Amino acid sequence: MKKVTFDPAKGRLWINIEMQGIYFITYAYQMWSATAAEPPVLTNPLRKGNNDSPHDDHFEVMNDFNTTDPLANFDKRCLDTNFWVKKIEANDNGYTLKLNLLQGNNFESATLLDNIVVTGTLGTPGLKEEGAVIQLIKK
Amino acid sequence: MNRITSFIIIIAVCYLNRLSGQNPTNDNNKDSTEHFLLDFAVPDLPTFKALGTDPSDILRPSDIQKFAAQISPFFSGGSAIIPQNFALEYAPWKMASKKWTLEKYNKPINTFLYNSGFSIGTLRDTSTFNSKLSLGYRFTIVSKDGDILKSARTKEKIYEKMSDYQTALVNLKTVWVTRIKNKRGAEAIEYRESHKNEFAKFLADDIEKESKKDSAINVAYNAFTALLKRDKLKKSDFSKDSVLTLDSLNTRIDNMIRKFKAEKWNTARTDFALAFVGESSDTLISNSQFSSLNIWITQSFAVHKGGQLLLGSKCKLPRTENINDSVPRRVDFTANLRYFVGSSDVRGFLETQYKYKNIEKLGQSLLINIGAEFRLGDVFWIIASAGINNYLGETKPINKLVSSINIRYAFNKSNK
Repeated sequence: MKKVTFDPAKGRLWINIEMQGIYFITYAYQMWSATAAEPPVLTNPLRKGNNDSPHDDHFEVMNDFNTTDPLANFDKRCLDTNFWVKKIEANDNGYTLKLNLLQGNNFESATLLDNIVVTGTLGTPGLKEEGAVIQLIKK
Repeated sequence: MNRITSFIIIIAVCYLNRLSGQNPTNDNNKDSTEHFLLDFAVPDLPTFKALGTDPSDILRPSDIQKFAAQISPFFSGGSAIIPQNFALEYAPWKMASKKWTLEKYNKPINTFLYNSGFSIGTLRDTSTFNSKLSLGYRFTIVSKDGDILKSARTKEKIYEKMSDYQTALVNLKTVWVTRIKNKRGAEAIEYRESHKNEFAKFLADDIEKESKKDSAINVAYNAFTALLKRDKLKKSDFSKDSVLTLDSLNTRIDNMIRKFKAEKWNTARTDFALAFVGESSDTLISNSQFSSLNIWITQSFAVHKGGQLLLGSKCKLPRTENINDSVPRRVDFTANLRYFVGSSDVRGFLETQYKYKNIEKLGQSLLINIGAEFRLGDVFWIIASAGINNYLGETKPINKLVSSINIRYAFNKSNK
């Protein structure tokens, strides 16, 4: 788990998921709340995707139960991404999975705050689970 | 006796490979993806083809391996021999693909580079220039139907299956850690990651009971059991000895890949290769000279389910001494027609080959060849053929029996 500091005054938060390597890769993303007063998971439904079409692998970090929830409330919330990697062929050359956290009013112009990079190979049997978690820390 | 020796060598090599591939802690190796590779065949390495160790000149369409080796021949011209010839193939863009996205792979130039490779081979024979070294390059253009990454139907089914189970298991872990363990936020994630075996045990032993008491657990469990029912899997497939395992699901997906491969092994594709051969009267590179330039092209077609037709051609420009008006440049030309029938693992073939050499006395020949290629173990392929080479152009044509056995190995297996 990596702690990443954000400034609530600097615009919306986004995650962008990058997947490299010739594998079948799927992911599921959810944001965990930080207090017992809220539902434990604030992403409903889970955000899902795969590496076949990389253009849609970015999401605004938001509370689906309160879409106007101010960023000041996002302190200590966790962005939890689960990856499944499946070997396509014998060439197990390795994969790189990235969970990027960005901030800005638009995704296209948002600035990268930090990221988590996971690398690996599969070996046997050929389907593996990986994970990347960022905890938001309010500046 | 020699044949027995050759047979023993092959069996011993295969046995040693099996030993090296065994992992005593994981019996599921037998179900690993290595069985289901999309290698329609271990490739003909252009360097070897250029060195002329095979009676047939056709370049067999096949997938480029990241790293492949060929040792040849074990049996040639009616007697078993100890192989002195080897060739290696290396595909640098397969290695570079570690940093590629699938979007990048799907760009035509990158798909082309991914399916191309370089090879190097050596041969020692009894001619004056008895040491030969060959450098080759080869590419394969695979039809969209034969590339699982471009075959929408199979690819989407695999992604769907992975995503369905991933979502179901993520939800089950979430309700377990929040409803049963009463954890929240970062603490919940840390507990989930550090108590994986506890979750596996919950999935195996307690989830049914708990799902009757808690609606959130019930919803997540029902979604999971619906998938199990759909795919004829059992809950116990995901939890073995208190360890969460994806092996059964992996096997199901491998079966989808295997089915794709079985259906598409004979799909249309084009192979092109060229090889440059140098020769030397000793083993010193400084004494080497140009020997030949070789170019192949082969087009394959699926003619029926389990059948494949190959049309191949080779042009060879051998070294020609003292070219002048009466001594033209030497050119060898070969045309092949080969018919395969079988499956992705075993297939037989019937072949005819016409060869023309412009300045040799017995310059034309017609080869009739039959053979088979089959997978032996996880990574070995045996290719055997025998036939009659009929030298044309004489009042009394000369017939010569030809035969060959090759063993091929792909180094792409990981035993981790």
